[in-house]
Amino acid sequence: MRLKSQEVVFIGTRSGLRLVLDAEDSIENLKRALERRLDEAGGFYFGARVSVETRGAVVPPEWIEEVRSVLENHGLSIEERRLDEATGGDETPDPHAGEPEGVGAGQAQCLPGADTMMIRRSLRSGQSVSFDGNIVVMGDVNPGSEVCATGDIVVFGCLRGVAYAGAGGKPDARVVALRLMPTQLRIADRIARSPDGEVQAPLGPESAFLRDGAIVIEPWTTH
Amino acid sequence: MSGSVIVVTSGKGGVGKTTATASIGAALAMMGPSVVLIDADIGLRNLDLVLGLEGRIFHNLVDVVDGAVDAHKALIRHKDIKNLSLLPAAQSRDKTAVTPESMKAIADELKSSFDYVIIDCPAGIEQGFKNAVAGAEKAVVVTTPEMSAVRDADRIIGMLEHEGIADPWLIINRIRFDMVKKHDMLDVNDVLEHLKIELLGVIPDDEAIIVATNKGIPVVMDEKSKAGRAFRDVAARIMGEDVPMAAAAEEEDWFTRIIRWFARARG
Repeated sequence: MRLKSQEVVFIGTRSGLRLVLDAEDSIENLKRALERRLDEAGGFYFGARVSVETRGAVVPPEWIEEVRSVLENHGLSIEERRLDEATGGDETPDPHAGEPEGVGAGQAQCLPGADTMMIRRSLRSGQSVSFDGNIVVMGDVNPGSEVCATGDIVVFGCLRGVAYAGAGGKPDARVVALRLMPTQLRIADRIARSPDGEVQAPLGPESAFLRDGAIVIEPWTTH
Repeated sequence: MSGSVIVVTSGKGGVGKTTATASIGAALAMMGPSVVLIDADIGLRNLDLVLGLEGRIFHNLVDVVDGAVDAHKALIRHKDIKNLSLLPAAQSRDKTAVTPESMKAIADELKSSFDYVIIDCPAGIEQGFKNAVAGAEKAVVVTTPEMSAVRDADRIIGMLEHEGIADPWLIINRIRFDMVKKHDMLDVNDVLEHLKIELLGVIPDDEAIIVATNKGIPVVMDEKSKAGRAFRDVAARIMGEDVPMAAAAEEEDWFTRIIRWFARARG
């Protein structure tokens, strides 16, 4: 068997995440490679919407369905289908395209219909919360923990873990924390990480948001 | 009589769980209460070695779980500290030989006849951890002033909460005040700010620990060892005494250095 390390490639672009599949392989190999890639990423792509592309030969439509089920199992959704000209036109449009992806775990902790989840404790390493709405943490978000919301994230404490606001692709989502020192910040389709080396603790509350497609952090002010 | 069951845990391996278990147990027993230590690290048995009891093992924890022998029958009395007993781990089996239910039953049985039941938890967050914490009411989390150990301690504190053991105590082990002073090591406040749990003790890095471990003599029996003293303070705090934290460690350093200088000057 041929050993190819990059059968499945995720490419981040200005217009979103592109998943490039190698059409030459069998569907089993392709699924295995995709699973491995997603497992390696450890939830990194959770909530992301990807456009699927293929390179090489013709991809049978049933492959795409298999790929979709793998992606959906990992919390990703397919945005649209941009296939090679070989399979092009005769594809039916994706009925799920553009639907916001529900973020699974943690929903049970919230009343139905409510759109903000309150967490009245600190999140410790290994704990993660995701919610289809806003999240407020009344405590710290420690390194090694994750908060993922389709809306805003407010941390009334020190944010040192990973925060992902606007997970469904909402570009006006914000992350606000009394002390904003995240390992990594994601807003919609943008990712920022803290600088390497010693990080000075911020003096006061700060807010992170997207400006011109880049994540910026500013001291928190009320308007 | 109903004693308290305390589990000593850390998440990360090699931060000094077994040493802490042996030292705290020995120090408590030397102060009067009766203490039994349970080595829950099945397959990687160490606690007997640290206590110098290796040659005296007849039965072990798995024998008790299997029902081959009564828990009290399997205990080994410490040779020097008469209030201290040990229920050793099995070396030839693994963690799957024990269940949380059986550990809880053993802890419950032993606490009826001992003041303190102290469980040495294996590293990791899997089956062994779940077994070790099953019967515990209180936990001591051991960490070293390193980010990796602190991160794992944080994870363990979260998991202890999940198991219903709230407000664990923290021991910061192997701290080097000279390095802290040069900002080459996390200091006590850095660790506390991150973990936000009650501090039970700060144990200085001490060569006497290595010597004591190799000889199988609990370091708390060494009057001169700083780590031994720190562990005796920890034991006193567990018993409810209000012992000030050895923030004096630095002053003491300076003080003992002068004494040593005088001693050397005198020849």
